[in-house]
Amino acid sequence: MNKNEVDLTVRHGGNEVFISANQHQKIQHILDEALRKFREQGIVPPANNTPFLRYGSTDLSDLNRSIADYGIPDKAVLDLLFRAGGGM
Amino acid sequence: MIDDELYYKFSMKKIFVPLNIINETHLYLRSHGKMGHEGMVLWSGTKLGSEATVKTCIHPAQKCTAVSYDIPLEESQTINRILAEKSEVIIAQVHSHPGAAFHSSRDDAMPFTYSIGFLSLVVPNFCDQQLLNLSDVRIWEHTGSGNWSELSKTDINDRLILRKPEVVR
Repeated sequence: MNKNEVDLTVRHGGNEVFISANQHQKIQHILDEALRKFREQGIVPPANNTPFLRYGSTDLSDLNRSIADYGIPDKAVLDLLFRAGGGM
Repeated sequence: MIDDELYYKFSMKKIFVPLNIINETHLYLRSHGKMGHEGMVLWSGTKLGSEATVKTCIHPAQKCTAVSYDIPLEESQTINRILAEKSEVIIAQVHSHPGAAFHSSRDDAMPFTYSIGFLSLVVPNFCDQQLLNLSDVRIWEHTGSGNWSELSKTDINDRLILRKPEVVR
């Protein structure tokens, strides 16, 4: 495998998807890929709801930063999360 | 509807719910109600084809008021980890309202997940009545892209199968 390639797992609600990417790719790419693959598992958020990605205690909130910028290693597990709440 | 094919593929035709999960849900939501605020639990379990079996009632850490609840992102992340460890998926969320049961705009916009077929149960009056036959509960189903459809009483009776724990498949 190319030394710049990383294999990542993104999990959400008991489902998970696997993404291979170059570590210089942006977090936006990971988010887009995760949403595309989760859709194939029946997880279909509205287009105007941008979920959050976290790696450990780090919010991957700057989608223009790269995987390497955030220090995300090969085999890392990321969490895809929606802002959850409710009430009348 | 754009997600018709996905809905057919992923919606749950039967959801088996053990009575101990129903009772645990009632006790938790009622304990919140006695403090004068809403509460929320998640039901997780396993899915096989179009059938799901609830196995766990999760009580997330939550910030509640008389008219709202919010789950911190860190808590949602913890739930992700727990589900991975248990090999379970989220099936439904259940929350209480102080008065009538309805799906508010917050309920529509802020579910724990957007899985197609994910159920959102709303319990009226701070869950002051037993949930044993779900007669006071209203249930909405996520049909994709943030759209929700309320289940009729017939749908609820046909699709949610309440069972003693030992006979749940």
